[in-house]
Amino acid sequence: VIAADYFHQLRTPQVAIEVRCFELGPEMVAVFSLVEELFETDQVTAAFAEFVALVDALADGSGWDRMPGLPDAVDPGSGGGLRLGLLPEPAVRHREGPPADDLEQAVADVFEELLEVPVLDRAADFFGLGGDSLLAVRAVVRLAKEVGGSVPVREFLADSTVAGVAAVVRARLGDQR
Amino acid sequence: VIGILGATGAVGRTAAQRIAAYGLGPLRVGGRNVTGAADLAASLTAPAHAVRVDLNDPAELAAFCDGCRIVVNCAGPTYQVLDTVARAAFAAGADYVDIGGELAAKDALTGGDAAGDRIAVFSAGVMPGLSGLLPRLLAKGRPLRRLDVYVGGAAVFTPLSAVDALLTRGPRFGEPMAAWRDGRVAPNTLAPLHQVRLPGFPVPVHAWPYLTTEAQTLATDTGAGEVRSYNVFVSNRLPEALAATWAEAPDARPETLAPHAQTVVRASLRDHADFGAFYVMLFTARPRPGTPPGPTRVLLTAVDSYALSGVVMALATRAVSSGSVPAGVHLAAEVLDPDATTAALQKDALVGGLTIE
Repeated sequence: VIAADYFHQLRTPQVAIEVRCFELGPEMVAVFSLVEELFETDQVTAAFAEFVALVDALADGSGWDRMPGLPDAVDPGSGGGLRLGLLPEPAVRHREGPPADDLEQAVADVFEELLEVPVLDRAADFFGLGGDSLLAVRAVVRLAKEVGGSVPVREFLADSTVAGVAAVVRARLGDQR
Repeated sequence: VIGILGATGAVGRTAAQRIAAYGLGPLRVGGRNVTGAADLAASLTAPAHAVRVDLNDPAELAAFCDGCRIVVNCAGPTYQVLDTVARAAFAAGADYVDIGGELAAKDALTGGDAAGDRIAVFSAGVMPGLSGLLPRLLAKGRPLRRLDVYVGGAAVFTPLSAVDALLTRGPRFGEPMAAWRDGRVAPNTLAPLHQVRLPGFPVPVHAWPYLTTEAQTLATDTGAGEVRSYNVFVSNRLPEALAATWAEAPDARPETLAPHAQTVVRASLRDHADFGAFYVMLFTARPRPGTPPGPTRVLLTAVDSYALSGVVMALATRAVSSGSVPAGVHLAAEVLDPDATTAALQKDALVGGLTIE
């Protein structure tokens, strides 16, 4: 088992704690991987003990023969279901050009730092440049810190261009006055 | 008379046409191939005659320079030319403009009194040259927090230009992966960018950080807090071909690099087949907060960087001819007037667009 494999797993931002089980000959091996900063040591120890107890109980008792109940299929409802392209195209299209003022530049700087690519145009779109929803949340947090305007994630998603996000910040800063 | 060396080359042809069109005087058109030079001379809009000249023959070179007011050297390779032609021009009492040279030639001439009251302008092409001049439009009257330079595109290399490209390495040219930060070179600060979209570039590109000595001078002259300078390629073929050659060649002498030139030429031809020819110069400024408003982006697009270099050579020649360049040895980026050069480029048919916003 190579440690790097686990680092790779845990770099997926959604994964905070993970248990992997292996059969090694007659033994079972359980590996706990976790993001250290998020958990107290005694919590982890307790969770591990609980997991071992569960495995023991299953191995000794009748756990292998019991049929677990499964939930019924969920009704997707009328006109629902999963399909692609549910997100509408941004309604606002901004004129291309360099960031128009200090605020747009500050937004571009935050985008740039999180996306690690040059953000040089006010019409540049956060998701078009490789952003994802987790990075968007981080962008919102960074913007609150850097320029003082809290941008609701919903509004960020509605127009995720440099100019669009700057406009939301400007409106919210105006509201506070 | 204005003498043009290497006039039948990709740069020299345009330089000769523009110098003729600007009406700077009769031309003496020099090349190794006198037939080609004569054809060019006949096509120009100013009186011109062709002369056979080999730069490696001191007597022929002296004869060419004799009687010239300005000698314009579009011939390379830079590593061979260095200050040879400049000294020949000075000996004939002529001023001098060179497509290449960079610091090596400037240093060779500086010290002592080689120039006297004569003028020499080196690196009067697109890069170095225009790449160090145009960003100055963004720094006028205000210090910048950050200045970015993105220059490149898809252009076909000749074997000679490939060797010149292979030789632009080492501390006299620039430092890969470095940025300029707070008054000095910060090594290993930047990483290559792959498949990025940059304003003005028609396709996603690969941008390799290379802090040229020109960019370092630019940083000092403009007082920019940070400078990032990138060479832009349409694919990774050329960076890979250059890196492979640098890894394989035992040293960085022209003779050892020349056999590898074909690798670089082939990479450029494949890029050209995929993407056609284009050249983009993008400069972006981030002013310090609270400084006076001003432009933050300069964008120049062209099809042919060699022809564009020819235009810059002609503009440098015109500046020398009109007396707007002081005596001494200069680099074009530091001595040409950014506004006058921009105005002239905006009128030139070889410039696709040059916007300042």
